[in-house]
Amino acid sequence: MPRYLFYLVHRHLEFRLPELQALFELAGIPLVTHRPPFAADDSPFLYVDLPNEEAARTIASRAILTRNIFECWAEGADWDGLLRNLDEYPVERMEAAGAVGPGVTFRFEVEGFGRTYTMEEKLDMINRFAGRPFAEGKVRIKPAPDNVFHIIEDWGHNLGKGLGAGGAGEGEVRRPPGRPDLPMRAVYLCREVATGRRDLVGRYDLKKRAFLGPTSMDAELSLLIANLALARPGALAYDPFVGTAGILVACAHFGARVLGSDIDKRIIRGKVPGKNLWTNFKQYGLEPPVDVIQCDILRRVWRQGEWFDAVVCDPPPSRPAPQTPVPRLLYPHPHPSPKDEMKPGLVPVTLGDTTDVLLDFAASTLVMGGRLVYWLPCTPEYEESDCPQHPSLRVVANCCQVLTSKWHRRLVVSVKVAPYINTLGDLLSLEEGYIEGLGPLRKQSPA
Amino acid sequence: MKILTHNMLMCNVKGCDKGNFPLRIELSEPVSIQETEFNEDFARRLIGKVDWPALAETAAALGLYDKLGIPELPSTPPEAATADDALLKAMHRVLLEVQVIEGKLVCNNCGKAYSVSKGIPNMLLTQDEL
Repeated sequence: MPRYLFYLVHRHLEFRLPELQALFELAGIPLVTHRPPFAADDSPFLYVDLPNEEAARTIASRAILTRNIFECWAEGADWDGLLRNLDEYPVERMEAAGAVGPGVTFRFEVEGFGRTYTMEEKLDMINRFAGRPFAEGKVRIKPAPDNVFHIIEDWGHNLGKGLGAGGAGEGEVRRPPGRPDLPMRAVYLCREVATGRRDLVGRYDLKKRAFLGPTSMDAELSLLIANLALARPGALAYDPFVGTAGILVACAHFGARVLGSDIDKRIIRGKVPGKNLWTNFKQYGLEPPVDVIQCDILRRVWRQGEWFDAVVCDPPPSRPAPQTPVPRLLYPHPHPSPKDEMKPGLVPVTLGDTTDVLLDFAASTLVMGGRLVYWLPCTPEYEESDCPQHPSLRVVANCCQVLTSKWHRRLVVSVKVAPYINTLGDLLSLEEGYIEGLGPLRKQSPA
Repeated sequence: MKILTHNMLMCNVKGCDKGNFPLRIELSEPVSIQETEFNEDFARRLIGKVDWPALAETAAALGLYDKLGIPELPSTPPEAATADDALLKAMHRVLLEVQVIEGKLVCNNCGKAYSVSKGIPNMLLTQDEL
């Protein structure tokens, strides 16, 4: 099977492979990856098998953490190696790609991973390919030429640890030109086949969002969640902590019908007339939610049934302490600001209360093969065994995002693999436990 | 609130666990009809999920067949694999295009009334109902 070079975005490193796995599952293609010979562990370069270019375009059409998919014509640990390897690349394959001939238009792009270049340096690199069969046609910038060739030097990144979970912004991994900290790792010459959807991160940027709340989910992460949840036309996605619907907007972008609920009506309706949750869908021309209802996830309001293809959410980080007078609702304010964690009267949710209810809820309401994607707050001391388990669900991805030195959160992706098994027992008695302040009620799942 | 959501919701008052579905819709304002995009796959996959007796009862009670100008939906589950386009479109219209704006959802068992206001059902309970 043909092998394509994926140039990934150097952000949210732990999310990159799970995203690819999800996109390949959606496309019905097994994911087979190969590490490029000269690449390091954390390299953004990855070879992936794909049947053809159309498949590459399908994958790229919703990829958030893939910049480009290339047909790599040559690679080398240095320029001599690259040019030697290019000599061996068959001209017939260049012809098959429609890249040879006097009337063919093309342009070059020079990119450095871990480096930037001056215009002179770029031209010098491009000129090293003068006289090659694919550089005989006409150079054209706009409109788009027949082929775009990318010259990519991999210098690695020298930001060290801490970058791991999306610490550095796109393009921040650069060093001043000519700083010889580390030798170049590799250089690639490739033909562009498909471009990922980084543009969506800008389109759904929260700065331009009509209706926002204190906990609105970042656009890039929302899009990633939608991909990991396999949001697609024909699917129904539900967010039980909908807030301002950041995650559901991303799911709707990929064609899923969405349903949300929240305990707080103020969040759903908004304070300013004409600015509410629905405005966000209208703003992007998306199908509005099937419904948004006011309910408490801890109560059974949904009839028993396998309704959802995806349950997606960012559960609130804290809840009122049981002794707080609660006039009407169990949870009068489920979306406190992060500072509320420190205030008396609120206790942070620990692993094992809301999360257990959420897992049980998802296990009972997801279709078989449906996915639960949720954020789990944790500390740097997190261990694999801290991740809550449910006998009907299997964790397929668990990606860490560093928030502060003391708080991390992990995006946990689970798939329903077995019929629902009730792990909570009587839900009502559990709730009474909350009200009477009996403390965390973590029930052990049967092994 | 769409009829699909109505077909999913049940009463959650403590101890009310029999006859708590479907909730009876009491309108205080006529339903509104809003077109949405039809997705055949989505509609077909709903066949096995929907409670058909409740759906037929609700659609008849609200007079939706006349309002939408569509034939009656069956009160027993049709075969998902062989459901034709006309049935799927009728399902789509009833389940996803009819919107309850103002009214109540009343539990036939315990009598609890959940309000629907500006299209949003409020399923929360008071302290003594928990």
